[in-house]
Amino acid sequence: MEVLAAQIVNGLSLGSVYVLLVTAFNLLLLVAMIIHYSFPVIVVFSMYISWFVMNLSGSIWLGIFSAVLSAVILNVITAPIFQHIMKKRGEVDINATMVASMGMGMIITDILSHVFNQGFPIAFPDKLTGNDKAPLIKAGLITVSQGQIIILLSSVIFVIILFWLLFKTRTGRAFRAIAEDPHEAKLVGIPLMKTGFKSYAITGLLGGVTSVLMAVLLGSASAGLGDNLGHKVLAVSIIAGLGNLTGGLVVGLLLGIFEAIIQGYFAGSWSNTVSFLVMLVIVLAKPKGLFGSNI
Amino acid sequence: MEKNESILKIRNLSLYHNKIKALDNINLEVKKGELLVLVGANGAGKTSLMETILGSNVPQHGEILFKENEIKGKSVDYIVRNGIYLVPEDKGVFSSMTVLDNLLLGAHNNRKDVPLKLETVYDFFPVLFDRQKQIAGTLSGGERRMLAIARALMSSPEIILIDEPSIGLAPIIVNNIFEIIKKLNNEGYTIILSEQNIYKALKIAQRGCVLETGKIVKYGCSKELLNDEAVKNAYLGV
Ligand SMILES: Nc1ncnc2c1ncn2[C@@H]1O[C@H](COP(=O)(O)OP(=O)(O)O)[C@@H](O)[C@H]1O
Ligand SMILES: [Mg+2]
Repeated sequence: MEVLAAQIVNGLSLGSVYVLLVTAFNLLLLVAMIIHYSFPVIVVFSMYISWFVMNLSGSIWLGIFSAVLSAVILNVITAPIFQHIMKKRGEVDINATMVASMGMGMIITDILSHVFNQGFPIAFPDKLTGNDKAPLIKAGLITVSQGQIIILLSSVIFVIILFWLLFKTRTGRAFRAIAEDPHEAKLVGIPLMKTGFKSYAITGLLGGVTSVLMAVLLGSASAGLGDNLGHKVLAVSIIAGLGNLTGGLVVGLLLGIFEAIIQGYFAGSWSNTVSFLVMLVIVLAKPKGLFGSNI
Repeated sequence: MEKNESILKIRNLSLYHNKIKALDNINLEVKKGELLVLVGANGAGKTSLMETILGSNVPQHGEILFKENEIKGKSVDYIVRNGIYLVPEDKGVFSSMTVLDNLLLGAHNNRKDVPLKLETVYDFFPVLFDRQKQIAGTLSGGERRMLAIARALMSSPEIILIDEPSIGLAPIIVNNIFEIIKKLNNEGYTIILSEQNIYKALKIAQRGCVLETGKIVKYGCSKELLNDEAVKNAYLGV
């Protein structure tokens, strides 16, 4: 029983990271109208940047700051590529933007595996991960650390801020209008490109925060991590219903809990296989997602 | 500006959608404070013309002068900010959002005096006041059309383009909507209204023009058009 409780807490903290990634992905899909498959790769890139800065400066805070900064910058400077595709086609072109995103992901992954740490996985200092401290809960091999609680709380706070932004502010209102009907949004005078650009900045910020939380949660990163997460985020979004923010929230958390439970009771290395088998079944049964697609 | 002074001048305007000619050498002058009807069957080019005035379509030829300034090629948000607003045909509102959100979207680019404008709009449409928090998708067809028109008022427009407001509504509701449009015109808004069913429209308008396959084929005051044999045969079904 204790194992189950601990794994649920573990799963919630893992799941909340998925939630942040999926929410950013959905926001870009709804507002910027792109499939940014490689968004998690940008997040992993920011993990590498923060690792690099932490090692160089010895400062955790400088590392955190540079992670957030790098995600925002990377997201914003790549925005014109996607926006150029959209402008040229005169409308949303999800296929072409997906190819652009994949290409971007491959380049970044190559950079990560060639430039940093001679291609070996990186490990974050204990000062950040808190691995040197005693865990809060310990049940056999299973532990819940202080870091995991921090991750869970931070994710909740960021999701709340994001939903507040979406539902209580002028920019959020414009986001939702574009998400419902881009043509009509244009007719009421919402500048599509400019508003879309804001969504790149906001999701960049979200990605930066997520990269720090992931560094705390995982304690390490490798060049292939971004791709792995990219699969999961896309799968979660499709299973929840593409562009369905609430659905992404629920399914993201569920995936985290599911994976943690599998890791708790079975061999951890099979959790990806099992998760994807379950997702395959769901997607065959409900092609439009559990919560319905919003695009 | 005095009455009778023109607020919008369209000269030699042509628009192609890909290779299809949707507007063919349109010349049109709209006077400040008037209600002008665009009459035409499906596919005549009414929506194309309105979206071109709004800047959503970029025409291949011609010019559009709004208060003597060229607005062709300007962005929609620029044109909306400067006082032209479109009430689109069909859907017209964001159905996943509340009535209040829809109204505030109307003021997205004209953020001055929003509380005051809301008050005015609610005075005009008391139904909407009661339903501020309601999701627009759950409104009746007539209420939705009212919301779309009310949203236009939130942007402090000088010209309101209203695209086929009667589509899909019961006749009694249509009368209602036309009364509202007439009342807005009486309050000084310049209105361009597009309609297929022209009898009611010409009754409340001062002038009308008839569009056929992208061309203006008739242009005159409402009475003239109502008595025109060709118009009668084609559109009034008599
Ligand atoms: N986005 C578009 N792409 C291609 N053709 C279009 C498009 N919009 C309208 N058209 C064509 O332009 C013509 C005028 O259409 P429209 O302006 O919608 O007429 P109306 O509003 O009077 O029904 C029609 O032949 C229509 O098929
Ligand atoms: Mg039309």
